[in-house]
Amino acid sequence: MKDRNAIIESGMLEMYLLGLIPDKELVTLEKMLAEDEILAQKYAEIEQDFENVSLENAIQPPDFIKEDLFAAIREDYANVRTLPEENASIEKPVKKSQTFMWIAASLAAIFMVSSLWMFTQWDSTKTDLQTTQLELDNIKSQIENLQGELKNSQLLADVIKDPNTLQYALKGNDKIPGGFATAYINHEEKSAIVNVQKLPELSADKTYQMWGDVNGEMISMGVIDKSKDVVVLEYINKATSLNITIEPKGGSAHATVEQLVSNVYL
Amino acid sequence: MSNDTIYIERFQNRDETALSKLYDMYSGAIYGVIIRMCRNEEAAQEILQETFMKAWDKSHLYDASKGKFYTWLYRIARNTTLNFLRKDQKLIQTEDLSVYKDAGVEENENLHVELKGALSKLDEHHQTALKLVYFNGLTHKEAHEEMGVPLGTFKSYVRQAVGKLRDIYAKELLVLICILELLT
Repeated sequence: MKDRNAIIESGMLEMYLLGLIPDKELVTLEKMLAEDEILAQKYAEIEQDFENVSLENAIQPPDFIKEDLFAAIREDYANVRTLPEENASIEKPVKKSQTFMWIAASLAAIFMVSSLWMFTQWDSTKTDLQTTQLELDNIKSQIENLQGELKNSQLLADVIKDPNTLQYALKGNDKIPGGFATAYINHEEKSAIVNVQKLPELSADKTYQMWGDVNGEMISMGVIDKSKDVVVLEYINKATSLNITIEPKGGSAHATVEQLVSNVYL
Repeated sequence: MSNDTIYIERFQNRDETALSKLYDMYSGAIYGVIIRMCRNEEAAQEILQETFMKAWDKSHLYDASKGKFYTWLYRIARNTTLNFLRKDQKLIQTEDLSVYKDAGVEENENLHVELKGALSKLDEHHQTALKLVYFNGLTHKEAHEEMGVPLGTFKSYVRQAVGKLRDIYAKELLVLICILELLT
């Protein structure tokens, strides 16, 4: 005989429900169902689900069928027992059942109204929650920006405060009239910072790049991120001048000297 | 002891009140099955009456330890309908259509028998598989030929469909419990 899982997997329980199990297997299956609680539970679930499916797909038959059924039964079965006390109780349950029907209907109505109210509340809470979440995300992003700005300001303040820091003004040429940047170089700490707040915005496909001139060769100090006011760049040893060029987005390996917009000798 | 159990016991003792109660509880569900199987309103009404007559007659054979009362009733309805369809088929095959017509039996394709509830939420192939065996009364062998898929595949469809029904009903029950918890 198959084990429990094999029975479940083979679909025998569904076939048993439909009355499609051959007689020779029927006795064994019923014996197993009687002895195996888990298998019986599984079958009970399938039975309940099929009953639910039938109830959901119920179609009300015409009233006369019931009348015909009782007429036929009374005619065919003379031995139908209708006890006098049960006769008397037939009327009462009707009235009782009507009362219960009203109570049930009222409860159902209350249940429906409260469910609707709860749904409305839930929906509104959900919207509020989404709005709050958006506001929270917004605030979080603002805090991150402020933290970034604070970090930059602190960095700049620390660099400026340092007596070893030298300040260089990089005035823009006619390619960026009015453009201006300030570089802070500390040869002791070997750090280079530039304030690019006053460099004009470039088109999206271009970027500023800073270079250090070492023995006539331009060495990249890094691409200038214009979304920040203060940019930390690579310190170049023995650089004799600082230079800013306009390069394609992402920066270049070699400086495009024709696009030099500013420079200062150290 | 639940109300159902009391009614069933009284029904087995041939109590008409209990029969009336059980008829009210299950006639709609059983009629829904019969009418989908035979797709003939007039015949379905006769078969419904016959089903309850048989159940009344054989009520002593119902054993609650072997399954639910509804399942037992469903099997009677299914067999009664299949017998009707077999007889009906024979009449058509012998071309004795006069008898067929005299019986006042006319097929009605416009019956509102579309599937509702959890079953209608299943994928189409799962829905069809359950419909064929449960509402059309086909055996697995007949049903897999009807669907045009191998028997093993068809059996898997039925198993998967039953599993999905379980999930749907379990979820609905959980939601109901949550709502009741919130209300209390």
